Amino acid sequence: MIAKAVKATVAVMIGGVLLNAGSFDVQAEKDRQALVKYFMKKFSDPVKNRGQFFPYATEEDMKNIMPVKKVEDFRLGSYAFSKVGRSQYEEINEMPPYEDDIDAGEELYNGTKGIKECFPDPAIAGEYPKFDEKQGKVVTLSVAINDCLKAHGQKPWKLTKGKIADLEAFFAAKSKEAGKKVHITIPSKAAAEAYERGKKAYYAQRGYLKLSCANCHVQGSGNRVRREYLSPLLGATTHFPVYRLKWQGLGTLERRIKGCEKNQGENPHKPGSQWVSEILYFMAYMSNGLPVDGPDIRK
Amino acid sequence: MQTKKLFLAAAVAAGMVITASAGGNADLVKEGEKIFNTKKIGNCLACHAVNGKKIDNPGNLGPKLQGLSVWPEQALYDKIYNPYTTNPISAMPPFGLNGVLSDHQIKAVVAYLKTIK
Amino acid sequence: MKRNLNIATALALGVSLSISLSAGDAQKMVDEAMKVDVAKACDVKSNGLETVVATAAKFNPAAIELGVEFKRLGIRNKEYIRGLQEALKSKSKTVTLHYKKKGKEKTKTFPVDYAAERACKFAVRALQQVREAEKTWRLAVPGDGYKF
Repeated sequence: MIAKAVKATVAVMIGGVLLNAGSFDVQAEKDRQALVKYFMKKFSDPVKNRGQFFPYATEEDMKNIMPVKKVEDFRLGSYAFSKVGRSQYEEINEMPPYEDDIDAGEELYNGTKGIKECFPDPAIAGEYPKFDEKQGKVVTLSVAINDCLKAHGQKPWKLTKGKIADLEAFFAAKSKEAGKKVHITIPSKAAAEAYERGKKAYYAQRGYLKLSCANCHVQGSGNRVRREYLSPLLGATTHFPVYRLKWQGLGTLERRIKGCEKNQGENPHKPGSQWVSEILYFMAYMSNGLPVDGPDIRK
Repeated sequence: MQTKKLFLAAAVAAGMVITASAGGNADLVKEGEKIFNTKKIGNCLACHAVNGKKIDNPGNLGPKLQGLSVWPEQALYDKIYNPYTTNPISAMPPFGLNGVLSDHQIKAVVAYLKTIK
Repeated sequence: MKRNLNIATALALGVSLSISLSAGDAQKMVDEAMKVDVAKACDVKSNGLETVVATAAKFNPAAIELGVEFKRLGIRNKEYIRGLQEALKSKSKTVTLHYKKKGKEKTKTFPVDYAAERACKFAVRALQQVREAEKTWRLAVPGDGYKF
């Protein structure tokens, strides 16, 4: 009897979640599916689609760009399709430079006041950014960590690198180990509005170069700026925190977004600001269902 | 035979004119080339390869530039000043409109582009 | 308790009101920027240095407010404008900009006319692009304005 009641409650709860989610993430889900369709079409057969998607590719490019068969592969960014990039990536990953950072993150997890209470399950990297109904705003994992520190009477950390990236590396590694997938939810109307603002920010052309994020990472993805193949929006947030060779260290999503804004020719928004958190919310939603794959390395 | 000679003479004369104008332009072409290839100035090579010229690892977000020598100067100038007249979501920046390159710098780039076969 | 709540609500309202007001002012500046032809208004020869710098100074704060201020090679537009205003005072032909890059103090020198035209275009164009993006952003969204 009790079991039955529990079952019924669980069923209602699941139904409720589905109903809720269904009512506020309709547009986001449509956007995500269209984006997946776009990238799967673009990279399913690059040679056949050359005229439409890689109109200025050289013969060498066409030899280098591999077809992408599975959506999950987009967690690898441009290494999903760049043969040369992939082999360099695999070589470096034989001795991952972020191992010590994961260990440092574990120590921070166990040794920092409050962190364990705030994050009893460390395998939660795929659930952020999250819309916090109490605060009525999007909270990234970095922001959530700092909120936790502050609530426990501690000084917040730098949002872009250092301790916060180490702790996130531990969270990501635990999530990956547990086979977690990106699971971003849009639980309310306010959350849906935040998502829409993030989406608009992503597609709006900005800076003195008048570039949108999409110019490079949707339409431009698979093409090159100088030697570098532009990575796809699909999967863009899955592998953070990331160890970039350019940085010689780990960085959070906040750090990466700052770099993108600089490249567009805009004075970057502050890490932790509503603007940054909402654009990341949109981006992460686009990767829903992909495996959490952090920490990882990138050029 | 005679026509051939005449034609040759005309070609030589025309060639001289071209050389003369190129000579007067040489500094401007050189300046334009530098703007084209320097990351902190025009950075055109980020997206464009160039037909017949050695460019250090050009990108392919934009088309390989060729046959620009036959374009009218004004058309080239306008394209660099603001390319948004045709494609509203073009990835090419409006270098003049947005104050990245000055009038003189754009003219220098145009002079360089006019040397592209 | 109730009183505290009321105060809190009033405070919250006040804050949100002041934010939306200044955002509204910034939107008005976008409207105004749309009337500007930068090719003409930012030309130092025909308008004079002072006018062009004033145009830059007039529009840039709204760009900052809206989070769209231009920055080139580590130099924010407000740093261009500040340097230009000093150059105007000292009647200098060049402008030296002080800025920070990766925590290091740096300087860069430009001819005043060149820097003024850039600062003016940067300020006005940042705002014009806000309006342009309203019309164009959906054109890039797969499944929406972008067909493939």
